[in-house]
Amino acid sequence: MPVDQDTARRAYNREMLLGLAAYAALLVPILFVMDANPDAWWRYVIGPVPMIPAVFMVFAYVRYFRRADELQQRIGLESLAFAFGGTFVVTFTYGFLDFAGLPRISWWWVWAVMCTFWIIGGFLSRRRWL
Amino acid sequence: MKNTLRDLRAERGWTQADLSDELGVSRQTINAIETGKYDPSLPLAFRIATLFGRPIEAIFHPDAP
Repeated sequence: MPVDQDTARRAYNREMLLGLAAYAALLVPILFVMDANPDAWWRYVIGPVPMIPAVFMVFAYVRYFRRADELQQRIGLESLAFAFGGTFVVTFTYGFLDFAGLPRISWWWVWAVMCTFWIIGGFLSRRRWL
Repeated sequence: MKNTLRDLRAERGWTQADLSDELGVSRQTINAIETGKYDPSLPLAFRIATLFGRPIEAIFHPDAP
């Protein structure tokens, strides 16, 4: 066993904070520049730049998941399974309603829906195991 | 599955936090095993057995059928 649960958790917290700080530091100036240049072609290039630290955060989460102790892994997996299924049901339901005539909505909502189910799934799984 | 982990831990005067440090798992995991909510994997059960110097079957007992 390479690291214990506390070490894994501390490393995860540190890496996520770093990632969030980098995301926030990039987000503000890029939104400002994009707002000031509504017709520039390079908006498509710099627009997604804040997602570079987000990729780093994804790796931080996967690394934590691999290092986490077995019960934390189970809780994590159940939460993600709940979020995966819940997001499928909600996004496809809205997709059919969109087909029926409801307005198109932003892709931002997919992540919001997934996070909501992730939190609910985590609560349910913890209630079962802890 | 039932187990005698809580008694074994108490015999040594360890807290759940002490045992979790020894085993490298979270305190929540120790509590979940002690309360019978969670059965540990075979590798973790072996680490527990080695730590207490007893065979696995002296610590973990299957529920009556």
